[in-house]
Amino acid sequence: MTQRVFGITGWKNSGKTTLTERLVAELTARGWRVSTVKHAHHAFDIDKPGTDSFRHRAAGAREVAIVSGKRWALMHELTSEDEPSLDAILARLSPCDIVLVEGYKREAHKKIETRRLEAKDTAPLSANDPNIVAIAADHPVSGERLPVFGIDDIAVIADFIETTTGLKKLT
Amino acid sequence: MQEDIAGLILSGGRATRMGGGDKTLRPLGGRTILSQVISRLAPQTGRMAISANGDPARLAGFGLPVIADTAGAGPLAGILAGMEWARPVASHILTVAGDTPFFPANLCEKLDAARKGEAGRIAVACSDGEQHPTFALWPVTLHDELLVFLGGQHKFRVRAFIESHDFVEVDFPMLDVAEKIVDPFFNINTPGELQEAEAIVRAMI
Repeated sequence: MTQRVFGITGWKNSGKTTLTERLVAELTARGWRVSTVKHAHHAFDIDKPGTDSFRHRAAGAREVAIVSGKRWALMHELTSEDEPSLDAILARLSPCDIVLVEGYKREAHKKIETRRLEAKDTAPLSANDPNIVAIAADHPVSGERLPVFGIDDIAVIADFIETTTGLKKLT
Repeated sequence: MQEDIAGLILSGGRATRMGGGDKTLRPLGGRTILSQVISRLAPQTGRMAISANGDPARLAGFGLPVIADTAGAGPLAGILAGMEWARPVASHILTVAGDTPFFPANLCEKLDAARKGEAGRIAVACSDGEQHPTFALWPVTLHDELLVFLGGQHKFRVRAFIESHDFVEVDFPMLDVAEKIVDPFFNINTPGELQEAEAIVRAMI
């Protein structure tokens, strides 16, 4: 079975993370196993100086796995290699019902575009990205070819994702 | 997705039997009736709009354009305003009633197929031998005729307009929800029907 992937894209401060967070909660409450992928800035770090794992890495380890009975994480240092593709990352995830991808504006999976009046930029992305299949906005949007949803209308957006990705069929 | 068909949610009713206010903003299944309707319509048409009068701010959270019309002239005035809105970008509008949360998921597809490519033909939904004139696929080219019709001495009956034009009726089967037969065009007019709808939503999950 191919993986079901759905993206959340938009300009900075357009509400991507809040929408992703609320969709994870909604879809999880509906009984789906949800995983996420987040594209971050260049030098993000989930570790911090002083931890044992940080010292392993700082000493030159290529990969550091940190493991407990509650969760585990694998940190992989990119030195001369390129950033892995989204597909390569998706292939590393455990089986689940759907993967929500935040960011990754240019990848070819289906996405919803978030728009808030307070966003850093309000130029629509949908005109130049045929993979944007819907808009979530905090204001009425006219002249848009795609379905538009209220950014707080989480149930509607979750329904749309369920039908668009084939998680669920409408009867 | 039919990109030349725009969806119009008719939400202009005065909800007299519900004690007034916006019927479509009443809660149903943990959200609003209107939210349920948008979910059904979104996979069927691309662009959508809400036909409603009064302060559009109360509907702004749905992200959709709100189209006002000549209040008091019934759904036909909303359909006329919807045709005006859609005309630059779509060949047809699909109308659905905002108080009818269980309409068929293949409404657009079946209505579109039934007009057999006739550009001027209206396709209207039926169930259980009854016509549902607010659930129809309308060519926007009928705009001018509708304008004239609304100016005449008619009682603004949607059915009267449909039946004075080339039209086709399309029958939709009953729904079977937890061994209860439900008309897919079941609409909510009274508090009792809202309770009934709540039970149907719960059974559908």
